[in-house]
Amino acid sequence: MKTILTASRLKKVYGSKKSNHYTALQDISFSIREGEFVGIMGPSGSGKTTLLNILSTLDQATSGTISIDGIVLSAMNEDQLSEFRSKRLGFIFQDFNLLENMTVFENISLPLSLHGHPPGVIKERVTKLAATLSIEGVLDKFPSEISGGQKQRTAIARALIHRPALVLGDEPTGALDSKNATTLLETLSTLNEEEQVSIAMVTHDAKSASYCSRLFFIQDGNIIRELKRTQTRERFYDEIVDVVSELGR
Amino acid sequence: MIIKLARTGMKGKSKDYLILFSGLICSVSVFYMFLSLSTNRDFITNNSVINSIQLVFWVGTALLSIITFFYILYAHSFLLTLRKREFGTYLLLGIKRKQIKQVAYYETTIIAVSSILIGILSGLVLSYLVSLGITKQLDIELVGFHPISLPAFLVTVVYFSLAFLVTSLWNSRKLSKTPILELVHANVQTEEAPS
Repeated sequence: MKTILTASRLKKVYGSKKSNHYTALQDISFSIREGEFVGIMGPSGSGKTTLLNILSTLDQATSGTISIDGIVLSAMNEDQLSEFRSKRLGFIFQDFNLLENMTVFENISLPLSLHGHPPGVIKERVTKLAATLSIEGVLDKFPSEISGGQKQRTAIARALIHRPALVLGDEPTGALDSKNATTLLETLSTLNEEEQVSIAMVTHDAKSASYCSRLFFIQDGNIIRELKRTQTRERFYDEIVDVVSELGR
Repeated sequence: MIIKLARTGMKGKSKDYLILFSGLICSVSVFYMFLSLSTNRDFITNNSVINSIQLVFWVGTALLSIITFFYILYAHSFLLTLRKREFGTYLLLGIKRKQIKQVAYYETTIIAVSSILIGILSGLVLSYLVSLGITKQLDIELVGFHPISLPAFLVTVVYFSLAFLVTSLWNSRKLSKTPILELVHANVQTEEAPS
């Protein structure tokens, strides 16, 4: 299977000169293959959010290179990056980042309508995806009128509607109760298995992490452990909990 | 598309915009009323007891314009900070900064044009009503006072257009300088924010 993302020797230093020097990422290299569901785990301050921001093209690494879908990120200017982001990446945030003044339908279709897809195609794709995520009944409502779980599924639909090469999640279950979180994780893992959507997600929650097919543990800006899921999710969960306690969080 | 975004964006924050809008209308009409008084030279010189009354009015105009300018600048910047998140999401979904600035310009233009027009209109009506009221109450004749004053009208239009232009440029500069990460996560504390 082809490689969707390669990160090599990523380093991120905040602050300039000698004052306020803070190294968030030391030396990080890894790759993600097409159709993988990768989790990045680590305690607060480990650098996992910084890593995700860099992978998301929202922040630049101090040194090192990233290529996504065969394109090297550092070779692009801001407008090219914005174009790249909107075509090849999908984002799911903890607090949804839905546009409050647009309906669920408009929110989901925005990535398509911005690229001038014909309304017929947009309608068909949104309807189909909404049915998959079971939010077809709320398409005409505004984000303030739907539940947290429905909001997050709307955010997922928006992240997937343009068929991105890679979906990036920043604690996607962080703002949900455990029932909604479970539904969300199951949805993500179904999409991953059936539609071969590649996902990279940052989390600090062992349960969320157990839905991934591969896990990186980050501490003090380095990948210190890698875990592959080889058995059932429940067994994988136990394994994750062991590693977490071993790392002394 | 850009126009549609500006419209839905403004609708979403319509309450905040209504406050800004009514404030602006008030300041435009006060500005106009004051100017129409100070440009009615005959009226002032006929009715004043001190010679330097003209100067007093000019200083007043200057003060009023300075206050108004900072009011517009502050109120407008504040509204944009309320929408940082939204702009960040636009950037994320592939709208270019240039286009977002167009959205902001478009909104400023709508607000500017409508608040200047409505403000002058209400200023006109108010100064007419006040002069009518005074004449009636005090049973005196206001010699040489006309609520419709072309110079006051022109100065108000030019001054507010300029103030809006400066505000608009200022905000657009601020928007280009804010990194996308800060926009997307506005109001949200990221865990590794460098101190």
